[in-house]
Amino acid sequence: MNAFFASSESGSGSYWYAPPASQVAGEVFWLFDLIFWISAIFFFVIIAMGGFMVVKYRRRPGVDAQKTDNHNTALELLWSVIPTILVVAFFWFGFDIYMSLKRIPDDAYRINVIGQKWAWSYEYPNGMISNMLVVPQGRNIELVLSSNDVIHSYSIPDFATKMDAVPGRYNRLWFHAENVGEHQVFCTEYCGDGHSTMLSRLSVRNQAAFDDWYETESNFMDSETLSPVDKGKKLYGIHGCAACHSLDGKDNVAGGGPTFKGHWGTTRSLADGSSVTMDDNYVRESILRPNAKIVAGYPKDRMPNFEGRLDDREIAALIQFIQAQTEGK
Amino acid sequence: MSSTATETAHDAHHFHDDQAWHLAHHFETPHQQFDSGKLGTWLFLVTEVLFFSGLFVAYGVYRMTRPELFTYASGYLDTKMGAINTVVLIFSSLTAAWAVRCAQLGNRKGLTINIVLTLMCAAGFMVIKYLEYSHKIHIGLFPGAPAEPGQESMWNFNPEWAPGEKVHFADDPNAPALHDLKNFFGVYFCMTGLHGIHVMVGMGLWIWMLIRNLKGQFGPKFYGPVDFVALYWHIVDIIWIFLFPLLYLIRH
Amino acid sequence: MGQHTRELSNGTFTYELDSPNDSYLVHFKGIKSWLLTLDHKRIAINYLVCISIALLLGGIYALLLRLDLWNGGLTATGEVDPNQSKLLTNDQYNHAFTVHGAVMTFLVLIPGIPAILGNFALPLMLGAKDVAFPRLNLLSWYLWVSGLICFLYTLFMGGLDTGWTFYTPYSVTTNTSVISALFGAFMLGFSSILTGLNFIVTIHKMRPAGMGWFEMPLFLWSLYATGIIQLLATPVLGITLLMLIVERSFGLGIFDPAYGGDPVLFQHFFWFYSHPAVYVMVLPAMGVISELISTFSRKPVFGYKMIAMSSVAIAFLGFLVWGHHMFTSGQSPLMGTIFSFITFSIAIPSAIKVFNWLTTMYKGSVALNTPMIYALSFLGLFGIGGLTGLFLSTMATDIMLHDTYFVVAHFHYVMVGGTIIALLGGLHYWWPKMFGKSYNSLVAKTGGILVFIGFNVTFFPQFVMGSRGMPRRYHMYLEQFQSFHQWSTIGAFILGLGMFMAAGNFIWSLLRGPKAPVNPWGASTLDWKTATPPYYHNFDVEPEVRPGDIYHYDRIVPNPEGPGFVEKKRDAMPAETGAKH
Repeated sequence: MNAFFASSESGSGSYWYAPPASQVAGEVFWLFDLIFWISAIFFFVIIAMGGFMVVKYRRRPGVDAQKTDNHNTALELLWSVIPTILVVAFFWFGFDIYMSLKRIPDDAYRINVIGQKWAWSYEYPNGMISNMLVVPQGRNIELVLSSNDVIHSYSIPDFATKMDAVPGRYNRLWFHAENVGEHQVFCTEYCGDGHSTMLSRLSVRNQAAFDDWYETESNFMDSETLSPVDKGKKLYGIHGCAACHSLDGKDNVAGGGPTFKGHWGTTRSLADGSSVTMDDNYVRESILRPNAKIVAGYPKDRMPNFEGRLDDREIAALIQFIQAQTEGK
Repeated sequence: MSSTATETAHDAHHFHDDQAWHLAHHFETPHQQFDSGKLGTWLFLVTEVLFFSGLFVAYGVYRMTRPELFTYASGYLDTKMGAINTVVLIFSSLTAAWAVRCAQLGNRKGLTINIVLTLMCAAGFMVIKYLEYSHKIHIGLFPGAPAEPGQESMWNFNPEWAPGEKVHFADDPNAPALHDLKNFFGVYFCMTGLHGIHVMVGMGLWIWMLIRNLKGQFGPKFYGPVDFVALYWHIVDIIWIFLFPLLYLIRH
Repeated sequence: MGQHTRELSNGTFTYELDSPNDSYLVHFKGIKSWLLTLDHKRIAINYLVCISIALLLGGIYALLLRLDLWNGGLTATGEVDPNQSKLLTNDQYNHAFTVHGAVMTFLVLIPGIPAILGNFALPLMLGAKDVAFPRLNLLSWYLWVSGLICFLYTLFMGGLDTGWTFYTPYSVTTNTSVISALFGAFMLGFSSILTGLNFIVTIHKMRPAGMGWFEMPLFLWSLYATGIIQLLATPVLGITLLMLIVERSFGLGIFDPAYGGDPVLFQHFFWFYSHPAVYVMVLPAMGVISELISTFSRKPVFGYKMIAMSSVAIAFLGFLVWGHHMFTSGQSPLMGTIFSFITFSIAIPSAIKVFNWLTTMYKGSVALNTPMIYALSFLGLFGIGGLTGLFLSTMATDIMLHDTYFVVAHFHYVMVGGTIIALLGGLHYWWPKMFGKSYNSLVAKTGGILVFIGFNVTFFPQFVMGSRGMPRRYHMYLEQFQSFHQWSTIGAFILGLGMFMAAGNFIWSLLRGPKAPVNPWGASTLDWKTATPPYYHNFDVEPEVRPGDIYHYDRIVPNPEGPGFVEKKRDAMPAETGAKH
């Protein structure tokens, strides 16, 4: 039913929102417009009534207020019943469209989304992990959201949908990616320091382009054209290292991560007073047991533990990549 | 009781009646004052019930999601101690009610005896609570500040410290995961701890009433404060009457 | 000094009072007499001073946030743009918005109108000498001050970056000073409970003989409804904060998913209080508006009973809607549906109130004095705040708008456009009675209009960026939102200017203001029948009130000999005595 109403609006944006990227989003925006215009009429009535009273009955010398009825049942019923009918209508449309946001089609393509301070990562059916959400065009996509630390929320404004990623439970959302294009993703539940940069891009590609991307990404560790440093760079992106460890030489002390540029081979003094040389063994240990040796000034417990999440080949690639940042290989 | 130009002049009106000075200046009649106090006390008790309701809801939610954990963990509580405490508190409610009656009748001696009895029950309750808590601490079922997040150090429950209490977790196929006990004992310590704080506040109030009684302030025309403290005491009692079965009596 | 006699049920008593002709402001002297006062009027002034300080603190943080948000710092695709400088770091920004939110909510909005205007006017409106429990009243002020001290302690001991909502698990894991802040909010909660309890008992037990329930001024009805919420909802906040304190200090696993706890349960507890708290803020504001519109139109409030009952209805329904804060948290669609439906039902009593206020002015004699300017801007701003609430109670559009700037704009329209505007309006209304001094009305009106304009320039653009997807609590933002943010920043400074004009005018009035008449606005309620400023014991002679006096302006006529209004004597056989509403 709502598709009918929405059809006129679907596909075009307005001052209030960008063009909807799916049919459900079009329905949501249609409902937004409906409430907007009815509210605008109500607001106009309130302002007009107020303005009329103030001007017409302004205080004038020698003229006092006139006696009128102190209440009027018919009138009061009128302005109780009309809003009641309207809000019941809003409720109904809201409920109806909400259910289509909630009812996940059986054939949906499932991707696990993991929120972690302060990056999103995506786990595809074959176990491939990406830091960018790429989906095939024309498919129903189901995202299963979870969180490794605090509550995050996954918001895609163009699809008019949003769902919290809560530690300890799985929340789901779905959308239908109609057209090829790029969409912005935000984290909308406050999660600390990097909350406002916990952004992600959603890329809808046609089936062939998607398959191509999927194939390359799934097997990049086996790639013969990529150097270990390039592989390390990809891992750096996938595992969210960029959220804390910059490559531009600026240490992010408050946020918890030293930069990867310029520290290799130097002696680092630790929080407990001892010191260590930043070499491959130190980096390996820090990846697997982040709290073991913390450089003085940096907070504890900030970096997630990657033991079991990275294999030796991947750690080696990462180490080479980190080394390359300083030595410029 | 002279009218001086200070803020305490509020109560300082010269009445001919020996107890009428208790009428605060802003009330018209002692009756109005008593009614206001009573309504205020009841409203306060409503907030007390809602204050505990949060914990009851937390209890309900987690017991619903983890029924087996709750019945299992409840086995670590000492039902005998809990039962004794229940009897002690119910008895103290009787003496509290009796105290009000004595105040109404102007029986100063009876009022003193009943307040002292109530205080002794309250102290007894706290002692038993102390024994229970220290036992939990001894066997490690007590939370502490985490030494290292992610470590189990605050829940270093060691079954060998509590021989005969329960079979070793590793040997018991029905035992829930060790750290899951935390959920039950979190609720347990919050509920009984908050209740214990209320008992101690109540003891303070009773001591205050005792002092005022020894000064001869209460009588048939003025017994409101005793009445209000007794009402508070009953609510503390009632809350325990719910806590006892919910925490102690749910094991198989 | 004089001998007074009183007939009490158990005899006739004679007692002495200090000279009743002293105003409460000067009757006792010295700082101690203010700190230990049991007089409701002085406690109201104490609150006024302290809440103003808190408002200033929260306001400074607001301006700091707005200045920082002048630049977004990100390009259109989310890369850091080195050309855009930011005033604060992410961390500082997070602290700043938390302090702004926590101070404004717990220290200003929730106590604001009941503690300042309610404390001052409630006993006066009842013709009573004080609230039922003056010591409790003083205690709740001290609890408020302790809450403020806890918050200040938090500020200096590592700050707070959880947002005012304290969501777990973030609040359990952050290394800022959460416990002291929670403890502060806990004490502020108790301050609020005691105020509500005091007001309810006072209204029940201390109404004068001639004033039935439906002859009370509507401000008292709204405070009564507010008191119910304060009593029934605030304890749940108390226990929630306590559980969080225990969880954080001892590691109890109540909200920790690693131990079978549920962070969403915290949200349920939190909003079970914090949604009704919205009505703790707004209901008294509505009460003030009822007084203002009736007085400045010289007309009885239209549909008095409907307005009174709608306050109670809002208080009741307000308890059943907390789940609408969690449409995206993963609660079941059934629960979402129920909460959405009940939420809509609150729109009805609110709509009734707005239309009744508008109709009150019909065929009245509408004077645009400063308080009325605020009342009218309340109607406009609260109208927008309420209507945008419709978008958020509709489930489908809430999913789109949840946690965006649309929500930020919505609740600022309700909280600032509603509560703060009504607080300012009420202050301008009762100010002459409180201090016996008039303020400059031209400056006051200009300030009021600047507040109105500045407020709209600040918050209207936020609706648009919100519906376009801009999330709240964002320090860095994408380029496409920048123009909205910049408008918002400009507006915030206009708003600030308006507030400073109002404050400066008040201070000027204390120092230089001309003496105010006893009844400057021609109001009909009992609070205007005492001296200006009121006697220490409120009334020299207990004021006579008959059914039909309140909100009837026939006998209140302009003072022929000076400013303000005077009351004509009753006719020999008053015809309206029997006329009830």
